[in-house]
Amino acid sequence: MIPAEPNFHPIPGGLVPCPVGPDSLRGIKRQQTNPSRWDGPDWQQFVAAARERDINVRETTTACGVFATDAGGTAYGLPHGVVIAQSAGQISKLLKVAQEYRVPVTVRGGGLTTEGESVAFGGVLLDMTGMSQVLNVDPDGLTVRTQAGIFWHALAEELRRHDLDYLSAPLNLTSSVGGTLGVGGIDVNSPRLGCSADQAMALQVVTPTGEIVECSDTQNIELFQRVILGYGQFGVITEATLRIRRYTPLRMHYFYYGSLCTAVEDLQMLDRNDASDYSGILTIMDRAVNLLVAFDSVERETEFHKTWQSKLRGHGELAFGLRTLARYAVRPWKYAEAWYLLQRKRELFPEFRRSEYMRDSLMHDRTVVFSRAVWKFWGSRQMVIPDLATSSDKFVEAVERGNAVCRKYFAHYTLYCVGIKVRLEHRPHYEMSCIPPDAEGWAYGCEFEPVMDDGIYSRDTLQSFKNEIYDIGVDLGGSYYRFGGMMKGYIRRIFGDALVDRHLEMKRAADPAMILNRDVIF
Amino acid sequence: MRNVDVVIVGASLSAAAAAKRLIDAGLETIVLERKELPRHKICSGILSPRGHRFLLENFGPLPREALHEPTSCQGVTFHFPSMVSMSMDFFGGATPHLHRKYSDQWAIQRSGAEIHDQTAFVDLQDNGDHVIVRTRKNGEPTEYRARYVIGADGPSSLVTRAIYPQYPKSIPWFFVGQKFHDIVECPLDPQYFHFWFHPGLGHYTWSHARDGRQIVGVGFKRGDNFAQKHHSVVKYLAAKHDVTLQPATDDEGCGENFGPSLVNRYVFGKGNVLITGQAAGFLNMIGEGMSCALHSGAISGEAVVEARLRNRPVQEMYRKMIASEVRRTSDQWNPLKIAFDRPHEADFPAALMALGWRDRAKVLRDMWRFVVLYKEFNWGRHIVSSALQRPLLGGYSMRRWL
Amino acid sequence: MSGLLRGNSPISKTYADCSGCSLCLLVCPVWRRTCDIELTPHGRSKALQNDVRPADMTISIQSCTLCGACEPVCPERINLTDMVLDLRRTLGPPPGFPTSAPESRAGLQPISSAPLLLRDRALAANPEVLNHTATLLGGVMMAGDDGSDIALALEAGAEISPQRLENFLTSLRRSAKLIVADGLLLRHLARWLPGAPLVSLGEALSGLPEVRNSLRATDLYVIEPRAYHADYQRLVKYYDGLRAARACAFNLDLQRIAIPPSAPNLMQRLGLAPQDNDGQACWILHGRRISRIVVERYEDRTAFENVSDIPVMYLADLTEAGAC
Repeated sequence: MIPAEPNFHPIPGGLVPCPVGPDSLRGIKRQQTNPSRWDGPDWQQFVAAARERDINVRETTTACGVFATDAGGTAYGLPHGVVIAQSAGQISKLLKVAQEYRVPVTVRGGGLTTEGESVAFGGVLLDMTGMSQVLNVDPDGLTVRTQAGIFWHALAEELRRHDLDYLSAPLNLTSSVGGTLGVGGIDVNSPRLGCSADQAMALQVVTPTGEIVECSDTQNIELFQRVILGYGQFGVITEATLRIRRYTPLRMHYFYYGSLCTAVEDLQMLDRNDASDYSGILTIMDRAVNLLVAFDSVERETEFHKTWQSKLRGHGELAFGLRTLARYAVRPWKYAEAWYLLQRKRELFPEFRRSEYMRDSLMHDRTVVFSRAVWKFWGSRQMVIPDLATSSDKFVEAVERGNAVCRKYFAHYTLYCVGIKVRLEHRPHYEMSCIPPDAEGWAYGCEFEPVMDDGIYSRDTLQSFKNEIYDIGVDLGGSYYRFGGMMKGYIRRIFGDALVDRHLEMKRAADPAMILNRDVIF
Repeated sequence: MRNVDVVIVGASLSAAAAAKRLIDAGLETIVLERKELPRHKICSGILSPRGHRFLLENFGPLPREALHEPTSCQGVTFHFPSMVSMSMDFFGGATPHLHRKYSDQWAIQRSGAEIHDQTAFVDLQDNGDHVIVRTRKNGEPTEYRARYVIGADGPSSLVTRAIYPQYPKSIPWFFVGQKFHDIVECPLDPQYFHFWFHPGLGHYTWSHARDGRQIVGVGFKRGDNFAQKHHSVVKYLAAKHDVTLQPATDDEGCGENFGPSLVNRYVFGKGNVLITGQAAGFLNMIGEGMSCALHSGAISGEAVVEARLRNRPVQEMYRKMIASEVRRTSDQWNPLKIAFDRPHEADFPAALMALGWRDRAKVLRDMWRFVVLYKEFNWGRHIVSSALQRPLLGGYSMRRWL
Repeated sequence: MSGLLRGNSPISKTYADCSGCSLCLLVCPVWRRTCDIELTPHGRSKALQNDVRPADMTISIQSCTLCGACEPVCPERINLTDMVLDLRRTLGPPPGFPTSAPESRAGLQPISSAPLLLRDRALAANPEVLNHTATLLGGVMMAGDDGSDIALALEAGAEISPQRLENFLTSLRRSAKLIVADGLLLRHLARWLPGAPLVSLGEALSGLPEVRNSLRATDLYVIEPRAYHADYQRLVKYYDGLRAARACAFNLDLQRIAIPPSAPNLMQRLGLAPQDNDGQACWILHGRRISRIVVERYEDRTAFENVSDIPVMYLADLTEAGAC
């Protein structure tokens, strides 16, 4: 143990000596983002008490090892035990016992966090994927009630049997519904529909003290506002009622740009004018910038052709190819880059046009096409995808500065930009969330995705890269829209102490033992 | 014989960082410490912002006990024989002034590793799928069987010696000593670490305030006389900087390996034995070794974790992952980087440009004269070739590592 | 020869390459039923990465149905089926598995160049259906040695004597075409006889115009998963062509992965544990408006007949039904 009175001279000027020399922290608002393992004093009693209540706590390496890290692969932590979610009742019992013994409970859906938010640093890991049933589909009212541990893809499988589809979800097959509602989520239709969490109409939530509560915009309103985009601090989402829609195949159009700035401006022009049903930007570095525009109906597509297409400054594939060829013809020192572009095009493009997903030149099951490509070309054991969200007018600057950071760290990377409609009626949900406080009309998000291939990097390299991107967000007064990345290290820098402390007070009131997802933001 | 995943030799900050990574990933880890904890450690305690960040992010806020007085350091002040002085603040604000005796114990405890102190490393034997580590606990021989061993036992590393018996003879050694003086009058700002680019005083001459006393330290090639060297520094400070000190009340010193970071000659171990921290040769410019010790230590832990999960040789993982830390550390000694980039955590070029042109010229001349002092080690050729390599390879050649 | 029983390519990826993306869960019938990640390829890979011994994950290793659905969706392209087969070989066959050496069938058939049909267990038990199938395929010879003992040993993790394997393969080498009913055997034959003219029974039958033309838009066509996933890149196009031509529905999910009609674990498949309704057939039928179920694999009829009243037909029986 550290002795209580070590040898040091008293501090002149009467600085408060504990716990930190305050002056030593000046200017660096950082905190422990890689938490110490909970030391588990009452673990055995907790397990005994949980088993008495018929909760199966698995303590084997097989059970715990699966959850040693998250998709980010830079934070590691082992739970003492794993509980597979079965029902709201079971989770309620679990949380009550956990409160009693002060055992941390970390909730995990798809585990697609990138900074260890779904890693349990000791305590219980609650695997929500155990609750993956779709409970009720209402094809007339266009709603679905589902258990919240379900993967969006599994929900889509069910809905498609009724010729229905969800509104919006991350382009990632294994995000869970509950996890997404807790942090945001974006899709290429977010410029029209908002973030994925906006489609939630009502939730069943188990509060940190084990109450099972139904909440919505009309019932237990405050809880609903805190749980949506709430980083899992105020309860475990066990069921969700979501808005859904009729399934439609996609009419896809691609426009190619050599300049990021132009493409972003065109994207924003389309969004402002509601000119498309889906829009987004996907790039190969900042050399080949692809603006994707898509439609659900022939009417919308025709309108686009008539009114908006001529205003876009992008090119078709052939014209862009020729321009690029000309560009590299006079820059022989850049042939390696040109070769990479060509290879990437050869690998990537067919993946988006696989014949089994194309019928009559319409793309079917877009989420599968996009998500599989995402995993195939960008997935690796360390998912390094820092992101920024800003208001419309700061977005070009954010993307260009982020792009410069990417160039500094990685030879090859991709940017993925999309607009997010800010839903006025959901303002109360947005406080301290992925939606930047100054966003009006649309927020814009950009993911910065290095192509890591088989490169092996130290965690510090990856974290430095991510931090440099996140720092831009602090600088511009933005936020981080995707999975709440790095919220713990940045939340105070980005939202200020007053707001964070207010939420911390609410958290303390709702979760007296501070057991639920305690290492995520506070 | 204890059978564990990893044995870490040494209980310093790099050991704590390695242990943290290993414990997080669920590997059974034992840390061996020769002395009884908490143990004294010779160190300025001046930490760069990057090291501070690492401590905060991995071990949480520092307890007051782990800090000396003054509790923080604002930056570094360079003094030149031409009597030009320039102060540079650390990027991101002041950093803690660590009391190594307690900060090391705090960090190693926070890592969650099992600590066996009063256990001195003696020898090891790498048997391919495991390593036998022989130690003495209070004089009694004890053995450990580990899948991997991490040597984090400082510049005079016994683990390095165990696998490369010739290594210590192949590098130049320095002695760095410091004496503690009660202060009569000291105009040197206690918020800064003071460093003299003065070839006449020593290879490494510094002073800073600690717990109401003033430290005067000097480093030189092993073999010189500490008392004489120190005396001439005290005299110089009195004459040139009006520093009046009482005779020294305490003194201490240790051997240091300055060279490896300068010439990209790191030693990372072989087989299942990794070397990290200053034992591997990591040392930042101006003698700050904690930030790169922490980061390289963490990387050695990560390498073990990755090697296990990926079923790959640990040396391959370690060497690929450590490249980034080598870049950061060796960049600080790279003249091209210093001239055209900002490899340090304080803005040297800006401080230089803030001077008048006459002073600027004096500083550059004095620095050159100081650098010439190191001529005898023949590092110049390696520094130049490394500096040229850097933009071409995007890093430093792995072939020079042991 | 024993080298043949190991992984198929020198650069094959292993458990160590699993990045933990969970994509295999989405198509795993065991996960659909249990929601238990320990019983999935993801769970097994992570356990192995964490040094768990195979003996401590027996249930997981035996739970795999070997449908192969996880392989085409794995972004790391790990040979997940091989991984389970390797683990089963490490464990050895479960208690109750016949330990006596399988009868030697060498010399049961003349070595000829005629197309050969290798039946599976269900067809072997129904000679009439088998004969009808063979007749329909026109001019195929029934393989005297169908390798069913080898298929069973593969599945159970039992030793296969190199001599036995060599005899079996020799009997096939000259054949102009090999039509294989057992999906697991087909997967291995493709490896053991590189370049051999192999085709699954389902593909052979559905390629016949008289069978193909009998498919209706209101049919649900049930693909045999093991053969389909073993040659996914090619067959996904093949069946998409069949869909475009006949407009029938398939037991494919949104990822174009075949949903197996049943998901027996090893013990159930070996008859050492009772079968139960695992919900797979119900899930295939869920929400679909169809008037007939057509199965590629004869034994898959039962799974559907047990849970619905919709008529179920074996693919080879289609021609007669189509006529009426």
